[in-house]
Amino acid sequence: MITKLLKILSIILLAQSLFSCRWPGAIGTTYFAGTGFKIPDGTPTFQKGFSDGCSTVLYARGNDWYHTRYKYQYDTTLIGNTEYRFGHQRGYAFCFQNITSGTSGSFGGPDKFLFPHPHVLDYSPGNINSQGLFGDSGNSPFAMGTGLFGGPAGGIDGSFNVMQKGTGGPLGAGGEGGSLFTTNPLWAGGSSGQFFGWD
Amino acid sequence: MKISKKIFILFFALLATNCSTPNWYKPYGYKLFSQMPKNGTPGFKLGWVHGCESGLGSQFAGAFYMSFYTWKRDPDIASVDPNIPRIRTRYRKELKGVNWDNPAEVNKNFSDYNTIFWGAHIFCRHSALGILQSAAMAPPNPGDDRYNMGAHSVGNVFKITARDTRLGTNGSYW
Repeated sequence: MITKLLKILSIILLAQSLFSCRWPGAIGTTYFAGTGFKIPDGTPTFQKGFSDGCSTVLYARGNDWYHTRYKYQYDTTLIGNTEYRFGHQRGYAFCFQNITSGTSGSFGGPDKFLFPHPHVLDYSPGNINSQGLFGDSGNSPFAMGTGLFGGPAGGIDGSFNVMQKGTGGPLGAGGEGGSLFTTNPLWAGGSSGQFFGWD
Repeated sequence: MKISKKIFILFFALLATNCSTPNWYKPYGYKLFSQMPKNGTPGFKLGWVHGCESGLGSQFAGAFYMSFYTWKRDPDIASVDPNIPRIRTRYRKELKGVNWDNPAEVNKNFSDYNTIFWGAHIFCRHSALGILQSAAMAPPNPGDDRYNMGAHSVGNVFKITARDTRLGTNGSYW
């Protein structure tokens, strides 16, 4: 039993010494796919600054996957070099926009690259009459009656609202202008339940 | 040796290795302040620590961090005409590596302090904000509720509607 454990240990130690206790760089880091960034053309000093600045903000505003790959970087020997400092600031600012674009702001969300108006989906059931399928406020294709029908409210209410109130609002917004149908055409006509007002 | 003794020794060993990091005992302190570059001038290090503390003491980091950190920039070092004897007395420990008889070295240290201050400020305040965002506990913007107790909970790290830190997708380029 002990001999077997020693064998396993020696194999692990050998593997570690072969790779200098690091993930071998030549293999590539598929684990981190999509977390890299491109350094623009420029002098080596500028590029070093850009890389350091980008790494810094990717740690600061990235999630735990980024925390494992990036950290605060600043070359103290180049603190007097304006080109390095310029690159550091530009790298920080550029990567800040990228790292936060999917997570914050009015157009942020994990589905940012799937829908034109992404949002953080909340799968809790909402009131289908007024909120659409996923209870969101009407920014996504899932919100019934908002984008397609122009109704002011989402959900089924929004779909029927336009039939009653028309689509020609003063600002192009639905449900505010006049219409041939001054009441809901499906059940207009009074208490006897006529269709389209006919007896 | 008893297990409790071993744990005791391990605890003190960890404590001793942590103590060299400023603010290691404060929230997010060790993780952030241990990232300070080690080969900077004493002025650089002081500026970095002050900048980071000031950033964590800002509204970016919210009320929780603000109760542990505060604004720290030294007005004398930031001055165009720094009062050197006063600075020397105030930071006897932090700036003990500075050769005060060499004006060029003193200027370099003060310059490093002022140069790195805002960089460290920005880095640390964004790091705290990033952590808070991942639990849907970002500090309020002007006009928001000052503090929504009902929205905050330890379990927020598992909220699916927050910035999901368990997967690489949210917040990545794709």
